[in-house]
Amino acid sequence: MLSGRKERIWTPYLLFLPTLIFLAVFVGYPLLKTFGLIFISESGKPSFRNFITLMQDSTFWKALKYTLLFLFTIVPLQVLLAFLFALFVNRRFKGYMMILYIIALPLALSDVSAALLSYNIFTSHGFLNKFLLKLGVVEIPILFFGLGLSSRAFWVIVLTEVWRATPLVFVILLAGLQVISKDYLEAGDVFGFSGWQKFFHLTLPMVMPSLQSALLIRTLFAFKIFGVVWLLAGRDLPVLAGEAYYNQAELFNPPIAATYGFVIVIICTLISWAYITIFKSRYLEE
Amino acid sequence: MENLIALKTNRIPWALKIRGVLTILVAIFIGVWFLTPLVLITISAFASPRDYYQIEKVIPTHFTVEHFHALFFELEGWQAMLNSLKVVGLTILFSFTVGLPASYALSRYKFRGKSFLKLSMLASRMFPVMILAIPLLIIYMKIGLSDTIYGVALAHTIMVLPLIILVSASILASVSVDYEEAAMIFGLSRIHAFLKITLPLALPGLVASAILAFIISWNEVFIATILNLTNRTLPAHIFRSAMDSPDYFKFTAGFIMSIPAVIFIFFVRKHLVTMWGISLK
Amino acid sequence: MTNVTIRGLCKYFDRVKAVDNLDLEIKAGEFIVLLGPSGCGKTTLLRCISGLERVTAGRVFFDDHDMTYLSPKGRDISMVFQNYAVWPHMRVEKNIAFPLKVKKFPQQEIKKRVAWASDLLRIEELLDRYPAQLSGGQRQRVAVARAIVVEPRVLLMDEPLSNLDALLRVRMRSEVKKLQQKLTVTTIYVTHDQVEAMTMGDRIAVFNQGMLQQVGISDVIYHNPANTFVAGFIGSPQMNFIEVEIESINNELYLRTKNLTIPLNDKFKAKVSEHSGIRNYILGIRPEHIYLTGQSKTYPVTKGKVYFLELLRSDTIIHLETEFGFLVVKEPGDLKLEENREIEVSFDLNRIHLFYEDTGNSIMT
Ligand SMILES: Nc1ncnc2c1ncn2[C@@H]1O[C@H](COP(=O)(O)OP(=O)(O)OP(=O)(O)O)[C@@H](O)[C@H]1O
Ligand SMILES: [Mg+2]
Repeated sequence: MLSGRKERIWTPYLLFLPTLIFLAVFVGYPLLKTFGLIFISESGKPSFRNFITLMQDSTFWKALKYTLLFLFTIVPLQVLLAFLFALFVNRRFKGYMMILYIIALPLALSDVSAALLSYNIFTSHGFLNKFLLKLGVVEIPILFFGLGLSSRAFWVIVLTEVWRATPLVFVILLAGLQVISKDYLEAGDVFGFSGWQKFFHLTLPMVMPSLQSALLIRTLFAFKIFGVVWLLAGRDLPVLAGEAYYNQAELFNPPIAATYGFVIVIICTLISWAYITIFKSRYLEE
Repeated sequence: MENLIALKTNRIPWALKIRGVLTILVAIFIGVWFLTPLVLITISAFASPRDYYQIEKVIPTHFTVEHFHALFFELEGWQAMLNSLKVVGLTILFSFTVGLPASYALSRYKFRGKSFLKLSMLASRMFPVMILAIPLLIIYMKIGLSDTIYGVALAHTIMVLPLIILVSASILASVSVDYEEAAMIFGLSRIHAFLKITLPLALPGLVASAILAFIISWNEVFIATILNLTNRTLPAHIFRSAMDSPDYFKFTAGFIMSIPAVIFIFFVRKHLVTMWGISLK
Repeated sequence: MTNVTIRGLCKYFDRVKAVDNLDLEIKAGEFIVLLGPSGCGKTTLLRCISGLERVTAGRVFFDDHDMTYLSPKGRDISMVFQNYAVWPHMRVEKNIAFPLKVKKFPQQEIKKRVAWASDLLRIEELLDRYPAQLSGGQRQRVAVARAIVVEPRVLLMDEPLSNLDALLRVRMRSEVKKLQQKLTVTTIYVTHDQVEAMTMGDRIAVFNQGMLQQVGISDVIYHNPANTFVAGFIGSPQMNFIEVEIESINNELYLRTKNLTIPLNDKFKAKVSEHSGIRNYILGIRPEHIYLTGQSKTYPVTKGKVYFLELLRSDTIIHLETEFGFLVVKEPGDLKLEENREIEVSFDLNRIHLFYEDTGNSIMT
């Protein structure tokens, strides 16, 4: 190398310095501030009051319950659907690029727009109701949103989220499938594997790392679910992030909002940690 | 040659034909499933309110661009859109200024703690950045950043930065060091070599990652809503006001927000799998 | 034991004719080597035989059964892939054992065969590793082990030794050959290494640009190449080709060009007079069949200036500049010749090959 030894040792750290400073100022400090908000009372003494308030609040438990409900319905559906789509597209039939493109269309859509797209279909004057009326399937419009209809809204939200975020999972899984060299499967053909054997003993294990990371990413996302729920169901279906927003923006109660945020952070951290320790693809290690 | 063609056409198994038909059916299902909502919002965005409220009219026949006009010029949509663009631009600027040196370090040097730094970048991708909005608002109020586009852009930079660093590092790593070292042999300094050789070569990939940052920032609503009351970005503006507006405004707003996302996918369609494959892992 | 018959096989990729109208008969238990330059369609042919590739036209038979449209699963074959295709998520042991498991061999038998194959290929210490932890050559040996344990009807090998070091390769050559004789499995072996082809194959099939050039035992391929391609492809250094004309002097036929005049060998005479209209031929002679005069009593032919010497110590390769172009001569042993020195060489008249100038085909076929 041309550069002197001194330069070589320090350069990478110097290059990283701006990032580290930025993260310290904009992540480290606010995090400390969060702890302050949550665990120090107005009189300046350490206190668990906010935490206790939250634990005693039935809304918190309801929010946790709905967040988990969304998680356990949306994530498996998404991953399953995305996996099927990815397997389908990966067969590379004629025109598969077109299908790939169509599946990817909602990829960059925000939750706000997805909510509005879905509202357009399911509202009382929406396409679904007009269509059903026209066909004579129903007499009066089916209402999906509003008081007492939260279970219907729940499924609309599930549908919306599945529609919007399946492409994200799809792309991860397709990328995972595409790096599986065709030869591995052909070797399976040559040695007389059946289609199922190829899938379960070759494709599935090899795509597992992608499947796992997709699962993790979607699980973490599910804890941040907010926009779609808030727009379509408001607080009829409380979720953790929604409550954080509500306490901050409507009730102007930062300590409780921060406590909700804190709970989300803890859960996400635990999940990531569990994920990293449980799933390890041995064969990828050198 | 004639008998070759005869051989070719006979005995193509039935199973293959059935497969072909199945493929077409699944493809049609996928097309309908993903396109319908987008097509319908486009129709609704332009539908006249009279047609919309006529319950027996499934497909409207009268169209108008009035909602766009109203949304943009009477309901401050235009201002919100400009704010959004500014936030997005600043976010990209901040994250590249801060992050590009770091990604260069990751792609070109071996040093102690490298894997730790890489891992912490990955970990900060897992971190739910949105919850930082609450303490940030308090901090911003003290230093006068609250309700400014700079504040939102800085918060969005937190979200985007680790991603930009990781994606750019892998893009820079794909540009062979040899080119850069060749330039250094011919007397360019390291910075010069980077600016003159590596950067142009990596540019398409970096542009793609900038677009990724664009989309994340453009779509973000939680932080933007909490931090700003008056200088709202487009999603925040729609988020706060949509549900109180008449339905046809909601649809027009949804349409306006969807367009950049769809155009974005159009531009990156060739790199879709490779790029998002890296960035989402 | 299975014999493989390929009839009129074509495989086109758009406009690339990877395999072009190929007819080949492979006898039961035979070890046939497909030899040809890179990109000539060897892999494609193997893939057509295995059923991985759907043929454009033509038929593939195993014994009397038409296999053309059968999936690979139904063909009872095994294959060593050119890029190994050793499954990355299975340890070496499982890689070898898994095909047996799929074929429902009993556990005991699987163990026995894995042990046998790993001993044969010297990979016992690697059984617990993942493929990512192996070198290219080690991976290749795993691929060979995996292919041989299943004892298929037809064994296909796509350059299975290409990545081994010279020593191991020589050893493996004889191992594979012995193994094949023991198993008496019909084997189709692809290589572009002519030494491998010469030493291993019962017969050799030489390919170029998707077309079969010649099939035969190595002796025939070497001594009676069917055309200039085979003649040039087999043998190292390459055969010398000289454009010549037939001339009749005093009722005797001679091959002539510039300062070269060679009497026509009796074996060519009948053919040449059959096609008396054709005057232009290509003369082929291998470097080892040209001698320095003075060392041997053969017919002195031509003169040339020493242009360049390759000293291989066991042999010396002399590049001569002559009036009709460069001539390569191979002499055994270490030779000391200064450059630019003029020397005389002589051709072994019995070892001369003659090809039509237009088609490149040997006149003897
Ligand atoms: N899937 C494909 N699509 C298009 N062309 C192909 C495909 N596979 C092979 N070819 C072309 O067919 C020809 C024969 O290829 P093949 O792989 O059979 O060569 P080969 O003899 O095995 O070469 P090598 O010794 O380098 O392995 C080449 O020109 C190659 O470019
Ligand atoms: Mg090949």
